Amino acid sequence: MIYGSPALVLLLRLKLRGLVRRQWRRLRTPKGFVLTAIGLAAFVAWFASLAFSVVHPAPPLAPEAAELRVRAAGAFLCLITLGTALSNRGLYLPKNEIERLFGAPVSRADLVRYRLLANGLRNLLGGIVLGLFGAKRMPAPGLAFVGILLGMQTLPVVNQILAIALGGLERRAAAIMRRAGSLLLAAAVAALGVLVFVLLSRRSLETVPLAGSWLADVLARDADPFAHPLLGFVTLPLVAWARMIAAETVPQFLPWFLACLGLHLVLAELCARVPIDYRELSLHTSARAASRMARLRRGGGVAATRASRGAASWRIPWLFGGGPLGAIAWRKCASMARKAKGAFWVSLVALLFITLFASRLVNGPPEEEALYTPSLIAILGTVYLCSGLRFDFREELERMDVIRAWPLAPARVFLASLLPEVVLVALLVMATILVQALLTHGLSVLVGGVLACLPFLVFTWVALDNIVFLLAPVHFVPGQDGFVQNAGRRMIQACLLLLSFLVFSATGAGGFVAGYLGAGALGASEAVARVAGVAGLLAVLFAGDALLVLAGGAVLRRFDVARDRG
Amino acid sequence: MESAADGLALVVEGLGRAYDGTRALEGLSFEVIAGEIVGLVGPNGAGKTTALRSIAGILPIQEGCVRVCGHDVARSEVAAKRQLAWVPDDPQPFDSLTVEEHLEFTAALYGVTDWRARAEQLLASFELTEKRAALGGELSRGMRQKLACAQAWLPRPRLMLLDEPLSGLDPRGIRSAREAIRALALAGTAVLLSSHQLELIEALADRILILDRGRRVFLGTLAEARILHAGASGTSLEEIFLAATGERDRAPGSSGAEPP
Repeated sequence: MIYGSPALVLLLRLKLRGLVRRQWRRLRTPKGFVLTAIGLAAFVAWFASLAFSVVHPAPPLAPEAAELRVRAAGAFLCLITLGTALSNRGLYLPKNEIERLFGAPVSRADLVRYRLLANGLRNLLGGIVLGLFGAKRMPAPGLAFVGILLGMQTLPVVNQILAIALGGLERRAAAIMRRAGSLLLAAAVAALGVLVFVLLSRRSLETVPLAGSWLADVLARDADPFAHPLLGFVTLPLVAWARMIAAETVPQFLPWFLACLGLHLVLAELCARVPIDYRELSLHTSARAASRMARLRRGGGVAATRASRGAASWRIPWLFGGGPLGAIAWRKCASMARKAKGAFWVSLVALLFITLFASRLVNGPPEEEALYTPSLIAILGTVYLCSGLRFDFREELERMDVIRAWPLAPARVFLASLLPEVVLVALLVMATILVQALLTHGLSVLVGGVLACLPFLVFTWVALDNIVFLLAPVHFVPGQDGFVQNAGRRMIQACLLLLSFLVFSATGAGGFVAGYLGAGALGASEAVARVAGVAGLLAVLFAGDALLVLAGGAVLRRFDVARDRG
Repeated sequence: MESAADGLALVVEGLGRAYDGTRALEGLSFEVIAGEIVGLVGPNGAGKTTALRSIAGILPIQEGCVRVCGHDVARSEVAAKRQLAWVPDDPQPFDSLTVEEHLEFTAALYGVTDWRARAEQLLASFELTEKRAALGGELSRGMRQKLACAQAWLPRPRLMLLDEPLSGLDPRGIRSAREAIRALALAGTAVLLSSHQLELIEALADRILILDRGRRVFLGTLAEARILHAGASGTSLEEIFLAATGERDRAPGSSGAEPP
């Protein structure tokens, strides 16, 4: 392996020691010990299940099929690597290191080696997890694990070379490339939309414009997507990796392994010696990353996007009135309108996938499909969108002191802060359910019932999620230490959230049953009994949501900015 | 409402607070009358920000009582908050709102109807006119501070709590802020001003409240402080501060040791 400057290696060692020391200190408090124990238990259980599947693998894939899968996965990872390199050009160093190290008497090549070493260590855990996960259906799981681990160590090297090389291009060209990236993304989402439309309306894949016949071939069993001349050419360098990971015996594995290892070392040295001055771009990248980390700490998730300058000129309508409650909701609307562009794209893609998944999963008589598919879309869509669109208290942690000073009852602050997000998520999921219903079985009373309950369902989920968050608010940023404790904390929070939601859902179901049976006992027809059931469900959900607003207010009132800031 | 009738904008009685077993505030009591500027000074960790946050209703009150214009902050939280404004030491504006929209939002929050004309005036006073369309996330440290001041000034509060209001401001901004604080007090607003810039306190404050380790060690005018702690009329607030907080012996140069 390449070591570079002894001082930088020492720095890496000291940082590792510091990481261990901080973990040890965390174990000394009862809270830290419990969270660590839960987090570790979760990791151990997960690793054990992965390791067990490697030791006792499912029937292995044929070498050709395995090679095909590895090549496809490799192409996908390379695409992600290219995307990262396009947005983070130059050499990334954390903000607290960059000026000190750029000003230190070490060569630029040594700085790159230091960064590669740090990235390799950082990628080790991911490599082990992916190795265990990916190796289980390979012809020789043990060899495949080693191969995947090497592949995962090479990806950061490729990323760094691309980032430095792209950094060498003129800024204007890079801006054009970034715009091209956005256009490509938009095109991909549009293509996915067309595909979902075709699949839902049960048309032939051949009707998909431009790539229809190729797509039909690819989705046919045992087809080779790399038979396409362009795809085959672009992914040619991945053949060595695919053959190494899909090898059946050691003699088959060894030559490809040595070739890949050699390639890895050559790429790493090439990366260190490439004659491009990356300093200016690196400072820019580091500042941007630090600012993003700060936003992540404040908000987390996709809400950490910077507000769009162009959207600042938009006049945001006061949808919830002009009083203090309306003002708080208006501020949230402005935040969504100006920051949610990226989240909106991701949500659209997620909804398309959820619709496809729900349509494929539910198979039965049309009446069952007409109820269960929209219900499944409603639940999955709500849970996913609420985890991505974090325009609630999860983006306010650094401003909780300001919020606490507002002249408004905490319950009203809680309600006003959540309403815009609830409305947005409900509208998106409702539109998806409507489109799905129109493309399949058409609108019905059952779909109407699901649509009527949806806003209450979304509010319930968002309110519970925020109450749980406000009880133990921590923003964990990728790369931050304490991830084991955070995993433990997240597990406790997830259990609490799911348990509360289940209790809530059971109470709602009770409301439906009471309404349905009550109307039946009074001699109402089946249709009227169903409507009465939905009315009972809505009444219970409304009452429950009102209680949640009060509970949210109480949690907000007890929030202590000195203690609870995460 | 007796304190409001008495002209008392703020009454603090026996305010106490502990963090993880450490006493941050211990039996703090004082009053501020309408139109008065009280300077709050103390070494780092003395409890100044904790006191201000407790008065603003940001921190729950653990011990004691705080009344703002007669409203108990613990019992009539909303009514008390309507009477006060607070400028934090490190303002975090909303990154998706423009400067002007911050003022529009504040106006709606505090029910200020004639906000547009006042907002124009405040934008000009705090030199924000050219930045009116800038997003909160784009502002420099000084501009964020000016925006926080403009927001606080907008609802014409009866009690203003200022935590290091001049940090990050340029000389012109410092002068504007000083004038604005003075004008605010002349208009009848009570001001509680916390700062490490002792010359600012000396220039503006009618009375001085010195905190040390969460306790009040002095409350009175500068003249009274001089008599009590230094005994010389020409003594600066810095000397008084060091004497009151027992820091004089620890001050660089006072021990006879040369700085490195």
